[in-house]
Amino acid sequence: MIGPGEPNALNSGLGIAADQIAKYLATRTELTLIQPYNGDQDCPDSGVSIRVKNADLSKFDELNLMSELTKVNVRAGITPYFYPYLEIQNEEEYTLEEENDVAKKELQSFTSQVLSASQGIEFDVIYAHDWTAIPAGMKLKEKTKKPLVVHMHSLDYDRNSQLNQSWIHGIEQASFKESDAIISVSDYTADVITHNYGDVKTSKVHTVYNGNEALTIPKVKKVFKEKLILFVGRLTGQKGPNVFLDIAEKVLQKYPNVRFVLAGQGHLMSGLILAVASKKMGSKFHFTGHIDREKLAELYSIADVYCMPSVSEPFGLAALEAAQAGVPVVLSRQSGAAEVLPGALCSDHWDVDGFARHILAILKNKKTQKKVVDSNKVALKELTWDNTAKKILEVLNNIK
Amino acid sequence: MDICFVFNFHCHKYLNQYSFFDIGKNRQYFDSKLSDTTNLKNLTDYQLPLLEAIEHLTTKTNLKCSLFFSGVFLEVLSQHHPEMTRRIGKLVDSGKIELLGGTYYNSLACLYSHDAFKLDIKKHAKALKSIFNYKANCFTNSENIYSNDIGRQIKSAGFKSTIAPAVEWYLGSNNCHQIFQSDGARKLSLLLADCSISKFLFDSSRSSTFFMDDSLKNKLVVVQADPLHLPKNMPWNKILSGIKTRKNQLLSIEEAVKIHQTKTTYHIPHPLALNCSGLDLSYFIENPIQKDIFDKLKSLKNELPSKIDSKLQADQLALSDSRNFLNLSTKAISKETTKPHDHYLNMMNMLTDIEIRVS
Repeated sequence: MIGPGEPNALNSGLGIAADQIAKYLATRTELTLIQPYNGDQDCPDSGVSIRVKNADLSKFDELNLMSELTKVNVRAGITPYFYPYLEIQNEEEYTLEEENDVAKKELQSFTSQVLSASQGIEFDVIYAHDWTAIPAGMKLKEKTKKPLVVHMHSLDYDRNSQLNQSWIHGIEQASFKESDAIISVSDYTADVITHNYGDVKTSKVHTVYNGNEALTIPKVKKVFKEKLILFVGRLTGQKGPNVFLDIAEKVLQKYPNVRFVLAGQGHLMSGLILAVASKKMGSKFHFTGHIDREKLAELYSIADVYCMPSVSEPFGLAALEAAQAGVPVVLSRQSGAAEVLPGALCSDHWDVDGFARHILAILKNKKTQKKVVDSNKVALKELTWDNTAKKILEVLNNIK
Repeated sequence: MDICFVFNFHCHKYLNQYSFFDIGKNRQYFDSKLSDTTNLKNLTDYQLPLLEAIEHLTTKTNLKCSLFFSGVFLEVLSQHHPEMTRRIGKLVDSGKIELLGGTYYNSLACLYSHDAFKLDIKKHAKALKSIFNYKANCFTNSENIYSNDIGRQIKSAGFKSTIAPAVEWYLGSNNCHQIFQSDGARKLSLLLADCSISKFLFDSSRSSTFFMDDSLKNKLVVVQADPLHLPKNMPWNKILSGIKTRKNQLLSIEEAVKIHQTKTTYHIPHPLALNCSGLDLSYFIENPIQKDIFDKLKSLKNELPSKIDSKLQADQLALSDSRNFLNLSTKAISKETTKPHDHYLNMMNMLTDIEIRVS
């Protein structure tokens, strides 16, 4: 398995998903996980193979699950959500081309390190997560003739609304052609793959929904008398924080006793702050910046509505976390989470009025609120990482 | 030429990083460690040497000057150099220096609340009274902000004169080097600070030429400066000999008001500012994030207790220190490491906390 690295702020939902899948697969297969490590994260240094099964595991209950997992961390400065035109605004000394060149070199370096790290390892299937792992997966397939399965958690199409068919799109498209199977995190993503990446055979695209690991939600005393509407995600065009502002404006007109919290960081932050201030909504808006899981759980515990107006959201793990925490959710129809949370109130991402209507319905009507929460909780029982990994294993086992 | 030297001493209370998660948790708004370190360094490097020079020169020479000490500056000075506070008291008693009234926190309260402005002035007056047993007759507002209405408030607070910004399009054909009457309050004299002069008067290579300027003959020149922006080695010898040789005289503000009587009015319908560094109001409340913070302060004005010693009042007045608004400016003049947008988020979270404390 070629992964995105240990879960961290840079690989967000993808990091969590790959980590959970690896834990399960390690109990059913002999799994070697090769992943990037940029040196800042809290994980072992590069090039070191840690054979956990040889370590003293007696003190750790959960490590029996990982007894067949070998992790190889290779130093690489590549991140799954790299987009040069988004970073360039803060780094004026680099041009767009220079930023692209740096990323391409990092990807090349990661790819060749994966190839050398895989020498001497026996395996039956190559399993690669998202575009940063794809070139290495394709090279390995070419070299070993082993089947390749690509797991798409997020696409260039989702992240990149400004550039049409970037070089990253090209990498993804090539893999869809060459791979033996494609796992998509939702039907929405499967649809994007088959409609926007050339001639992709629908028979090799398999939807496997993400699981959900329940966060421990603390009991926090809410200091605000107003209702809280929560947005969680990178502050980039894909996640629709600007749409959230428009929704907020509509909600405030009808229901002033409310506050909005944007949890996340991204290149749109300054512009959003300026927009909020210009609309004189600053006293109703709170930007938290990037927060850890503990703080996120705190937010879920005090939120009255979770709103995800993403323009294109392959899945949306945060929506599941919010639903798990008992927060009623209002979601973009252009999301995977909307497919698995039957109670969610949904609108198309451009339908600001629709989102505002749903939020107001939840705020004003306790029955609606309860209905949304209860039906989502029932559905969430099926959405476990174990179930997700079982389905992935089925795909891996069925490759011809 | 008659010259009034005015030096403004202020210390800033630096803000803590204050996140959404700090709201309602009774966390301090001000970073006492950073404030102590920075203010003590400024005090040692710039403000104390100037005070020592003033002490020496007013005793040994004919130097006269007017000093404004913000309340926060007096707190810092009393804490770290109580001896200097006592020595200033002696100079005040001997009449060698004049103290000016103003705002305790150097706040922009005059722009959003009559009551908050009044409290800030009262607190400052109380500090002058308790430390120096002194009642100021002359006023200098934060960043020299002035309008007819603000003039009325200054007058009703018991002041006879105030420093105002010299703005060409309101001066018309009048020269700024004279005293005006306020158009908002009868018998409130206005002295207009000429921020362009201090730049070369206190520059050792250019200070002598200032006194050769015949266009200023028989005029009143108000030279206002912030010690933090003055050179460490002030050309006092050149300045004092320049004053002597050209038969110029140094006056306190109070003396200048008595000598330069006038009936010319200065009509300022809307608040204007031009501080001693040449910054106008656009540096403080022009952009949307400054205006949003300002509106938030405005919205809180009626909810705050009117007691002068209320901790809530003190916090909101200290937050409205003009320096905090300058740190929200995107005109890139601040030396602060915190970016304007981060500063905005901090301040808005603090004001939300105040809102919760009030309710």
